[in-house]
Amino acid sequence: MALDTKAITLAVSNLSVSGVDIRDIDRIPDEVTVRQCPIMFPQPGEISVGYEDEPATFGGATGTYWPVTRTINFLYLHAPIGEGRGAFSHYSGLADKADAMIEKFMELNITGVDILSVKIDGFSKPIEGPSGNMFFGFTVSMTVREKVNA
Amino acid sequence: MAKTSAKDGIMLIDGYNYSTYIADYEYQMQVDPVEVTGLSEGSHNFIPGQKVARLAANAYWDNATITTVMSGMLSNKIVTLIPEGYTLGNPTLSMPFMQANFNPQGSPASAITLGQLEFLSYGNNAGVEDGYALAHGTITDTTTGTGFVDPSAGAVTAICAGALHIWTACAEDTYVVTIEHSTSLASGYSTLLTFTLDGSAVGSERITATSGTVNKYRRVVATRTGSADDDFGFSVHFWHAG
Repeated sequence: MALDTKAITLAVSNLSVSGVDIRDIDRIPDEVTVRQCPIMFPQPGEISVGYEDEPATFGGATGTYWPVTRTINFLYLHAPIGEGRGAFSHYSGLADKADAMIEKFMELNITGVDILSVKIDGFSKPIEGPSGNMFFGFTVSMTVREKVNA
Repeated sequence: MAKTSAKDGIMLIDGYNYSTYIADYEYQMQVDPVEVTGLSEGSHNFIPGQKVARLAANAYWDNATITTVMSGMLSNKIVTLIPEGYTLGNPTLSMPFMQANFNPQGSPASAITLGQLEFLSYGNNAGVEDGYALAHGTITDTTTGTGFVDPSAGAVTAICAGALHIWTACAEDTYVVTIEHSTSLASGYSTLLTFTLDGSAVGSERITATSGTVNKYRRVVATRTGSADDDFGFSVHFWHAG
């Protein structure tokens, strides 16, 4: 067992949430248009953060067990700011997607990966897309524990 | 003062090298105090009573290896710790033990553990033997170890003991493992202790010699019978009183 960021982003990209284009780490868009929404992908600049690790057993350099805890972030863009009938018209759709998303993340079953927490942030605030445009959306932060030399 | 990390520690339990499953350890060596205070003494007067020796170690669950063995509640086996990792002559803490518990633990957000395993002294010994490592490695043929001089730089006249752990057993070859001693580093070695385990199975064994002269240089000799070139993985701890 070892660290495998791509296995995690692949598993997330295989989730099925109605109407959402969930992309793997190799398909992060440079720019998101209204027609691409809703869309979710690993959050540029914040994909893998918050590493916490320390050796947990004896066994020498290549045998010591290291549990590694880190957070993998995803960016969900529901619709561009300004699109829709009113300033808050997307909240209903956002709420549905946030609930569905968090449940799907909690049910992820990735070999060698323990999911320790799933959080959604920025739900009611404008959020910046990859090219700097502002969107209704949120971030999904999944804290995972992986095992080196398990 | 040189401080040493515990990260290279090696823990051998009845032959098995379980270092990668052990999260931490704590040896305990104490003496029950016996009070013999008499009239007119200025303070309580204690004399040493019986020794108490104990090892506690937290371990991770692995059903294919350590779990299967430890669930058997071992008794009259040997546990040996090489706290700094192996280099010839590095300190060792070794003890014949009976296993006092087996208490796996877990929660949804944690790894399964074996909890804190407790090893208690078996009673027919001096408790925790603070000795040193004479061998730890894998060989495929007859091997004569390098002599190691006693930390006191001299011979002693005392009871001594050796512990052998076999962690990689041979399929065909067999071995006779002995501890030899000599007054000279280069030559003149004679057998001090001979183990009976022959390398055909994983296991541990402790051999003692009653009080006699233990010359200042000691080494391990493993003599092979057979020609299969099997891997033979073993460790040897040596201790003397005094």
